[in-house]
Amino acid sequence: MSSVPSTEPNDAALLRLVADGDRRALEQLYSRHAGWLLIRLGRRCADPGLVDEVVQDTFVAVWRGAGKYTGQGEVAAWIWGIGVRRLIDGLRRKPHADVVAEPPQSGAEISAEERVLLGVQYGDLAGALDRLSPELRAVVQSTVLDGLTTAEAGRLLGIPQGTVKTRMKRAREVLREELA
Amino acid sequence: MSWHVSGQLVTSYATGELQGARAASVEAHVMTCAICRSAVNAEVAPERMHGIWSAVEDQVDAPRRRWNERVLTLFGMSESDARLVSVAPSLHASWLLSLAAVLAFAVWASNSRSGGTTLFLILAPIVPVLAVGGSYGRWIDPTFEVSVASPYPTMRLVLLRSTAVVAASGVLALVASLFVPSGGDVAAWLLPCLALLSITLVVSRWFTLPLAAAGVAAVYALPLLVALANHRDVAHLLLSASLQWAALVLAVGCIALLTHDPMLRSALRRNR
Repeated sequence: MSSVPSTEPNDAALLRLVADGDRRALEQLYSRHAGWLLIRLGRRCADPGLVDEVVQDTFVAVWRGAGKYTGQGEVAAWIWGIGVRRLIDGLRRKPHADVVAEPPQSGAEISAEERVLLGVQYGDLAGALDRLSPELRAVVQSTVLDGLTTAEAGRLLGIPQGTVKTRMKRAREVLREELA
Repeated sequence: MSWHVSGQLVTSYATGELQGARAASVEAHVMTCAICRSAVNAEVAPERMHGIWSAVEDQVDAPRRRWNERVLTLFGMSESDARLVSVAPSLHASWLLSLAAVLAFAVWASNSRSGGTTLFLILAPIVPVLAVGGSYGRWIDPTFEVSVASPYPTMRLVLLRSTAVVAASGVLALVASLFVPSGGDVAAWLLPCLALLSITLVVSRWFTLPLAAAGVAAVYALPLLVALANHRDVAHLLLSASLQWAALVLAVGCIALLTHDPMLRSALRRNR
């Protein structure tokens, strides 16, 4: 687990307090997590107004749904999961908001992660990822690092689900070639 | 974890300058490291953080709509009217429950004793009257001071609330009627109830609504209850055609009086 400054309650404990209706705990969680969430969402959506709205919605959702946290995994990852899905919903409501195409890495989603990592075991992974075209990188980024399904990634990037799958396949081929 | 994102890297990540695998690696690390999270947090302007937090607070503090408010809007009432009406004490669960208890007692009496149906016929019509009495008034309504001071016609508020509470308590009494033996006779409380309600509204021009309701209910029910206790044939009186006619005439008369009330007319105009 993460290194939380000592004597302060950790995130999971705060979340339990929030579930009991503790407003101070919510404020503390907000001060720990709203900042990076703003920046990380801001890297995926060029409309800062929408990002602010999404972060606001996210913490209202944390207040109402704190009891749904299972206690497994990082609280930060749980909050990110809420935030990025709210962003996708927000983009669907405001389809003209610009999406920032953005870079990749290795991380969470099951099949996508496996697909990348099975083909890419050795070599200059970071360099290979950086050399991907922005379109392919954005797809690898949202499925592998952001933990989205292909459907969600499609909505985030404003492309059809089928295109996400095709680009994912192409990205895998390129990476395998580069790292062979 | 001993590795941390350097200050320069944090800044270039936050500005969006940092791209590609290095940005992704920062993100992956930040998810698991509270120290680096706070370093990233420090890149956000405090004003932005405060602005969003106060919006969160507003939303968290906003009262959730109560169940009776939601029911009223289902029936087509506007949200602001629904809020005003739903705070009527007699639309609260506790009031409705105590009215239901009165009815349950009457139902029980009518099933367990001879002459019990008469008790039901006496009590059922005053239940909606008491509910109206509990809908608006200085000592009863916690929002009374606010509503007096606000530019909203009192008569309209009273009428809206009365309609709502009569509907709610009337449904309760009708349901209770189903459990009273002796079939069709139990509907005999409906006209007296209408008469008592309209008398209450007329009387409320001179007295407060709770007082008017309590007075009307007492004047109607007490003599009947005393007579019943003395084994007089109250049932015969309550079921008699002349009483039903008298109730109808009284109700029509009071409603005619009410519709000539200028305050009421202005309230109805606003309603349209």
